[in-house]
Amino acid sequence: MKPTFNSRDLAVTQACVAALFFLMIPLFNLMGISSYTLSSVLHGLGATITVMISCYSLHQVYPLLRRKEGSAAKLEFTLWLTCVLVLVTIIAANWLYIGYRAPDSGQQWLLYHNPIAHTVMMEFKEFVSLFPLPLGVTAAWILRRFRDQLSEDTGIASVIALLVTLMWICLMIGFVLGIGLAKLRMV
Amino acid sequence: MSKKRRNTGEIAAAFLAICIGLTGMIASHIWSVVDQINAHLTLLKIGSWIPGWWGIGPYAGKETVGLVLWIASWFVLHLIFKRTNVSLKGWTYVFMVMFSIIVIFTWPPVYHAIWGWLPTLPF
Repeated sequence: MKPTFNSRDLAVTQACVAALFFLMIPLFNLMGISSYTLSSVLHGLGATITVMISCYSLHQVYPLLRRKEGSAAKLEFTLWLTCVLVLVTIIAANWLYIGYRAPDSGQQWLLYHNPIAHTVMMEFKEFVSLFPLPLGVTAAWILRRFRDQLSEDTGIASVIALLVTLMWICLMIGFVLGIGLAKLRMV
Repeated sequence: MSKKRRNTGEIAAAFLAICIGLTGMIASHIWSVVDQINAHLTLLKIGSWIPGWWGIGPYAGKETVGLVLWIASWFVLHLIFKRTNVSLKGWTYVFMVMFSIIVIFTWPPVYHAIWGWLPTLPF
């Protein structure tokens, strides 16, 4: 007898519920007393969606390494989407950064109460979060240029795997440090 | 449709361009730690094309340095390398080493240990 639920149903349900609840985290900014609510919500939503899509792109590397038919085209689309989201999130981050550096805002508060949060965490995060853009664009570009050679040269798929993994790691660093800093002091 | 053959030199060029862009960006940041007054004047000027640069500060200039170096060096290196074939495995390891060095020098305790924590003005 066919089971009531198959593994695909469970996976899709989990993905949808996880996406919904993760996207609700940045919406908590709406309940704050910040003067920079719109930019912080946009940056938070952008970062959350980007990390989720980048996780998906990392999963799409597996079939590419196994040389599954059509995997390159799917991964390339997800990668370009990730790159656009990374750029949009960086733009929102720049906008929010104005608020962070404003007098009596996040930066000054952190420097007064715990300087390491700004001088180490934020200083590291603000640069590492930019790294995914060149990494993602390069991975997508190589996939497009070398599409026909993927089956002959396994080194190309390894290059893509490396670039996508580094992109995802950098995004995770930015995401976790960003949430951590926002927990200490909302902008 | 005939299959187009590309040379792996293109991948080496793309690897190098990423490293040049990121190195330039982190170098400009370290410059702003070492020589804050001069660096900030220059970086503010470079970053002034970005809307809101007055609030973003020298960071806008650092982003611009990284972006311009990455795109410009990619364009030039692509033209230089596109007719050559390189060892992909070798370049993958070279890129991993270069990227690791860049990340290490992005970690503030490392560059502050070398170039000092002062002046303490936050940027």
